[in-house]
Amino acid sequence: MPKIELNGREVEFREGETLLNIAWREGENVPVFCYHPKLPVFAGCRMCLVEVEMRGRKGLMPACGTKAMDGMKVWTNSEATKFAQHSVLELLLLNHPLDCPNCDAGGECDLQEITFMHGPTRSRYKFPKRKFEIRDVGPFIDLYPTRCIQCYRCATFYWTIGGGKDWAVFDRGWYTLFGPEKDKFLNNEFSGNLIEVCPLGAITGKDYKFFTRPWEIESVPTISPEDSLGANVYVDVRRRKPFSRGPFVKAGRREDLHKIIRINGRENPDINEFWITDRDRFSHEYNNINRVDYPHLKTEDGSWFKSNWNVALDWIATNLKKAKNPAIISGARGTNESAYAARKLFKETLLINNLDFRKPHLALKNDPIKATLGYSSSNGSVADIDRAEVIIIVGDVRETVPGIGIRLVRASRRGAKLFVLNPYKERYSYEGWAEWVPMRVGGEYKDFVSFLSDRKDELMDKSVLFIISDDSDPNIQSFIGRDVALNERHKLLLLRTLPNAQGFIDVGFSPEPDGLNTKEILEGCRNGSIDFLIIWEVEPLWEYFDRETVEEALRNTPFVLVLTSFWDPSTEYASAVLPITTPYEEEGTRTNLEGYVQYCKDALWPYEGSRPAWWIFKQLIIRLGGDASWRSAKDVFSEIKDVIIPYKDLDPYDVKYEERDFPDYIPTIRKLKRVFRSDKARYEFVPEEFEIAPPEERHIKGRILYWSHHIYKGSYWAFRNPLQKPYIHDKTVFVSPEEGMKEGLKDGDRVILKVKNMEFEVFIRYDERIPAGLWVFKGLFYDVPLNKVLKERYAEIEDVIPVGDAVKS
Amino acid sequence: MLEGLKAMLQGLIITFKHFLLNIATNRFTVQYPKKRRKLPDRARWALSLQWHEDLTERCVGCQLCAAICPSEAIYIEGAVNPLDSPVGKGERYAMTWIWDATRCLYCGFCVEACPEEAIVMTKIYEMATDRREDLIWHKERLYEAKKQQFGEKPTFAWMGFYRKREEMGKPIELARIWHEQEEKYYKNRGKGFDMHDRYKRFLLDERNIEVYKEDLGE
Repeated sequence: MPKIELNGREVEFREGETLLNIAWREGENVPVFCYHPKLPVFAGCRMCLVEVEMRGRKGLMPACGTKAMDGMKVWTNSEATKFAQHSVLELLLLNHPLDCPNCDAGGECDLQEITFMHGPTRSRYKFPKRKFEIRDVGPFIDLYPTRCIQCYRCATFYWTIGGGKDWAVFDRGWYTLFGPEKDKFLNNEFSGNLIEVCPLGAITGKDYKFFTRPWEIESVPTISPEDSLGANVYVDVRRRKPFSRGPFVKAGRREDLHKIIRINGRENPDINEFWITDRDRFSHEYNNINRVDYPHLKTEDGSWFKSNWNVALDWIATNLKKAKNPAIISGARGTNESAYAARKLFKETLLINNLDFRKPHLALKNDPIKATLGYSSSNGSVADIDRAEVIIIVGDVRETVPGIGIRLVRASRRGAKLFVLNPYKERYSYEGWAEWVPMRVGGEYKDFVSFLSDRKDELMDKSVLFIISDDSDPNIQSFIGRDVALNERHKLLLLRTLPNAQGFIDVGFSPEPDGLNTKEILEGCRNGSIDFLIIWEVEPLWEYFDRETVEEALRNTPFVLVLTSFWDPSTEYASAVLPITTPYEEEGTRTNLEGYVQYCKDALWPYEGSRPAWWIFKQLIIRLGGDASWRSAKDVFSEIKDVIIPYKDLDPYDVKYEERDFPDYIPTIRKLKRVFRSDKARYEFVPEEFEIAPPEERHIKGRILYWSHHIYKGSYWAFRNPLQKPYIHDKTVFVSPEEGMKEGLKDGDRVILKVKNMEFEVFIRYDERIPAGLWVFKGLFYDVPLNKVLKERYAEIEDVIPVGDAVKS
Repeated sequence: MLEGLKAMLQGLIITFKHFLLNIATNRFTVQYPKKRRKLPDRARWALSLQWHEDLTERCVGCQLCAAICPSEAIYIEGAVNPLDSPVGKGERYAMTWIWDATRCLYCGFCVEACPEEAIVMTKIYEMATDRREDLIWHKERLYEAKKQQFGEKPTFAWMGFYRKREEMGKPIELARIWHEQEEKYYKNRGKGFDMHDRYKRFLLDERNIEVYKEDLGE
């Protein structure tokens, strides 16, 4: 093994290691600014200069960018090194405003800490300092360019990891200015990571702005519930002493136990590495908005009666006992424990299999993936993106599971071939990371097959990863399932559009073998065969297509029980509303799209009287004469382990932390220190017999109204946040500029869409990524009830009537 | 036995002496509700918050006082200073400022930690009450205490004693000597002068201790 001499002692190293790696491994103190373990080396700040001797010549070299060579002599604490550190810090501090009391990073700032350790205590610089104005670059981030020390970490991150193109570096030297163009908002879903990447307070978050200081924060390691990737996060709450009766008490209620201050990324190399999306990071204000506080029962005159838990549960249980044919629909947003408790209530206590979490138009009798692969799950993993040579994406990744985007960008940089099959250009094809293969609405399967036959040569003998959205055409799904089952080098990653869908499937929250699926449940409600309906963490009026059927179903059901956290419109049809906790208030496990079972810790106290869903199901099971003696979510999981075979050997509640070799004194790297390793559930695939009927082509000509996901507006929780409003265009339909021009419409115009003899007033917004003929509506239907006319993802527009002048939505 | 009697007599003599002295000079007992003892200027009692001359708040909500407080008696929530109706001079201000008198040790660390000289300790010590809530002072009560003690005009304080307006922002003698040591370090850098030497010399220099005493007014 080659050796170097580090501070007078001999140290062995591997080929290719840098001096910084060796020094940190040996516990030496080398301060850094521009170096970040997850970013490419830039070596621009010169903070890590060390004295190096090689072949009799001495000099100062940046430790982060210098590879060790055999026979090198390195000193990290010599006079020359100390002098260099001292001088570099003095230079970096020349223009720094030293407004630490005002600065949000004060207390977790690398510059502060390293200056205290190595720097001068006063400046010899007597000239005016350069100043910049504070820049507003969107609803999430504030830029303070005056504080910047030009370490280029933000630019390195934004260009290489986030794949963004709207972050620029202007001017040189002291006047270097970072950020987007003037008066432009950042348009990248990873922009929030800039806050964590910046070693000082030049980039700060607006959600956290000035509320508290870092030393008052307690970080809770947990899992983001927003999408099925299950990104690992730290939820920061201000809770120094949970049970102290300090000056915090305001009218008997500790406000700070119900408020998340900010959310930061947590390292998990298999899932999100270190980076989280803006949806994970900035959607946490909904925890205090429009919440249901206590159980509410509807009296005979139609008014709400605020009840307590015992009365409410007794009344519900007597009604449930009387019911002949109860059913439950869900949005797969709860934990595995809650799903298991619901399954136990229905399948083992009531002995009825009417439970489903899928949307009605996707609730098929035969799951195409299960029919072909033997188990409804992806057999590839997120990490496979880094290995695949060809990646074929069906659907819009950015709007459904945005977190895997960093790996897609990296794969594209690596030279892998990416294809996106989607009716419109989504982010990765628009920005040039992937090739767009247009799909005609209604003829998806035919286009998919012709794409495969056209590009046969490019796909031959390559390792192919299919990334498909679980709401794409079932024929495509079964085609890919069959292909993956037969071909070892082909892998499938199924993007779950509902957060914990995989966990719900695993624990048996499904109508199999003889139950009714969502579509049949709603049909049954409509014709009166179902007399008791539980709606759990789903808003059918906003999420399901064919709204009139849903409304009629809810109206005709004798007893509707709504388990929800918010006063959403379906509570109007409810006979009883029970408040349940939001994800960050609840302990439990979640399964992500590739089969990781991860433990999420509760960061907040439950809002007023709300309870976790598994507790409510447990009480109902007990009242109906079943057996459920769980006292915590952990008890439920130990029962899951006995019943559900893939979960047999898992122990997600035993959280394991691994210590990393990074020194403790660098704050932004301190956040990386502890790695959360979760246990992995892996399934054995048994390919089954399958049969696919050739699909009909139902291509519509003319103007098509098409529904698509939206990163913020499509999320059950994220759209409630006031912070994300600027990125959510309410009442808006997106069209291509040519199409709009042809209709004589301007950007921002108000029009009336006439679809199936119904009229809807919407705003028009130009989007050059959309092909002509397509009119795209995104996200939930809380603003315009377009799901009255959308029976599936698309419908034909009969007429477009302009109204009035351009009004900004 | 005799020794015991002797000790008793000694004790009685002291008591009798104080009794006579008190009658003659009235040195020890104060008829409290009727009379109040004059407190020294550096008495450390209830906190008060200070304002600028235009009545905007001096506090910028940096929470250094809450950080240094050994008994966690201070709770602050910051917020963005509204530009149209500014509360303070800085970019942030303290939206909530709570001082818990039941927890406070009256050590004065918060006064020393404050970079804006916004906290000053008053001589208000009559806080007895039968309600717990009365001992938890919010922002309004803390400004009321300032008015009660110092009047409308801004007051400046540092390390528990008051300074004149002209002295604001100037380094005091203690800091000047620190800077001298610093300059010495810069001059001798690279000539075998140890980084930590300046701290040792600072402590060894007797002049510093004298100045420190002067500063304290002793």
